[in-house]
Amino acid sequence: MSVSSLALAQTLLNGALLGCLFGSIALGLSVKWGHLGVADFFHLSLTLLGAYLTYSLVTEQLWDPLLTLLVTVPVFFVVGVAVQWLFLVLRAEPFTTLLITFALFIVTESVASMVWSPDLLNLRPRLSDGFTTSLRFPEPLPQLAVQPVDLLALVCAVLMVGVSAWALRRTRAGRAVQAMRQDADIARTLGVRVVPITLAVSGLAASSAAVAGMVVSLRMPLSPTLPLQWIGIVVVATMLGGLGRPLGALVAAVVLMMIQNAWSLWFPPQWAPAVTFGVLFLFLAAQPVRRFVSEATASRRLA
Amino acid sequence: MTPFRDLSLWRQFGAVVLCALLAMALVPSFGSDFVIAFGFQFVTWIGLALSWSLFSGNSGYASFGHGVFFGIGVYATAAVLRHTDAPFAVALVVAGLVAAALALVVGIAVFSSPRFAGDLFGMITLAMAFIVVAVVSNLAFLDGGTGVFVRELAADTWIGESTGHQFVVGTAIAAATAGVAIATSTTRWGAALRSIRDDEAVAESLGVPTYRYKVLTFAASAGLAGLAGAPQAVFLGYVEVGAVFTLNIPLLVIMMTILGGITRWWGPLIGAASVVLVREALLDIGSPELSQIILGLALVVVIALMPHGISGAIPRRRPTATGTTTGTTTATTATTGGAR
Repeated sequence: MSVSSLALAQTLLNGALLGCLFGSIALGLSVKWGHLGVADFFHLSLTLLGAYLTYSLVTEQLWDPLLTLLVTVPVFFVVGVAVQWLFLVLRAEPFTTLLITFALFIVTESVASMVWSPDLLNLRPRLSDGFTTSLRFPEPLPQLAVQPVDLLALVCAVLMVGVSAWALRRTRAGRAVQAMRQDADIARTLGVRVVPITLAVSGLAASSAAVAGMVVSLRMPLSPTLPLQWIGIVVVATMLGGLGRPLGALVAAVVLMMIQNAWSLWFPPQWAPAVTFGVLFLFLAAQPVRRFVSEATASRRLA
Repeated sequence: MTPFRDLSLWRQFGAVVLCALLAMALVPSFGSDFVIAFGFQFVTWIGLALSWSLFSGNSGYASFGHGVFFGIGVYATAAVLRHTDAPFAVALVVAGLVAAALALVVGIAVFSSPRFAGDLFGMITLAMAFIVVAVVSNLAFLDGGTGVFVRELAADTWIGESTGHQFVVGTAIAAATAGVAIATSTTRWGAALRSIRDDEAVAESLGVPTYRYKVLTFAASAGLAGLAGAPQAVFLGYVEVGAVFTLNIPLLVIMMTILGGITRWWGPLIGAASVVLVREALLDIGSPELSQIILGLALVVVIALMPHGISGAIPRRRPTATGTTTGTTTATTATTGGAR
């Protein structure tokens, strides 16, 4: 079956832009997992709640979608701080935090289904034309179409991931976070104030979920089980990108979504989600080989 | 003293076998339909909680894939009954073997790298859940999106005749799982697993073959969950992906084990019994969402207030060579507390 190059280019472009959205969801997960040691299922639930809150504010209060961030971002910051504070009070080990966020994940699904109903909610018909009319590339370029919402997703992803990556590398606070990750006790001895920084990082991660949730509400119909559809791509992107590396997660998400979309052109689309995990399992399958090779070289060195 | 000459071990085996035989004799003949159906689910959850704890509770590697192994057992049974004339016993064996084989393959890959410990292992088992769901719902041989009617397929077999027969099989599987759990509580095998939970690097350096233990125990735990899925396929009558592979299963199994505690082999048993009874009571609310919310919040509260579970809160009776009753309890709690 032959596919025109224009169709292929359009598919890859759509995949890349959707990947940007997943990359901005993966941002919070990657930072919290890599730097705070919390593999946070609840981050996906927060993104869903952000999307539902945006939906309610836009449909009931008739706010502009971008204005809703003025409310959701600070509220989510507080929620993020509160959850992390709970972990600190419980002195929770990574295993315990994983269980707690898993429980909260299940709870949020039920809460969303009770408050907003299990039906699909679509914000699209309520949006102004500026959000829904697709744009075309200018003349000399191939005639590809882009949704304004996808451009918004691209801008949000690049801004949030760029700022986080820069802050982790270049700022004092970012380096303190890196120091905590390497050895919290030594970092504390050297004057890093671990508790406030931990709380702030968790709050910021939750705020990023508010922004991602806003984009989600514009991009796709909402249902309480959406996080189950994201969890695969977001977690795989986080792992392939390297824990605690937001930029890596974004790139991985973009590449994965491009592969997934291109797959649907030639093969049955219902298998597309499995492709993501196929990539992950290829990565995992390479591990025994890597272990074997490294052990073989190590034993040769010893001999 | 070698573990198998340990009298208390045999007493515990005997007690489990006696309870199982009593249940098999009494419940199907004297219980009402409701009691038998409830009893079947009761023993299935006990088997699931004990088999999860066999690997995850002992070694400290939390798996979110237990629902997958259970679901694979259900679907393997449905497939054998649909495509062959083989008796249920064959389907049972196939269910256990397929689930164990998947765990073996995943375990061989995942445990080969020390990077995939702790929460990363949890995430990988969760990813495995999604890939298996995609495969099962797309293969017409297994499901193909329409579901499978097992009731008609099993109608003229012994197991399909009555819920009582399913209860007998379920109880036998739960008892076998309990037997394995008892074995791990005193043997070298169990001690090796717990040493992994306490400090894997130290265990490895003291000569514990951690890789082999982890891979084989993960496969055993998965195989037992697959076995538990076999009678479930017949019990459900109609098998479909959404109902079989829910995230509820790992959530509840983990909750049962945490609630019951992992310091004693019978902790998950107590936990399973309590959670099943609470769930039954919550049915009266009439809102599945609300009861889900209550269960989830209950798990958070349990983790916060009872990190060692019910069995961890009960002091040990039998003094050992290393110290008095209270001394042993604190020592055990200290080691497990340090690891978790």
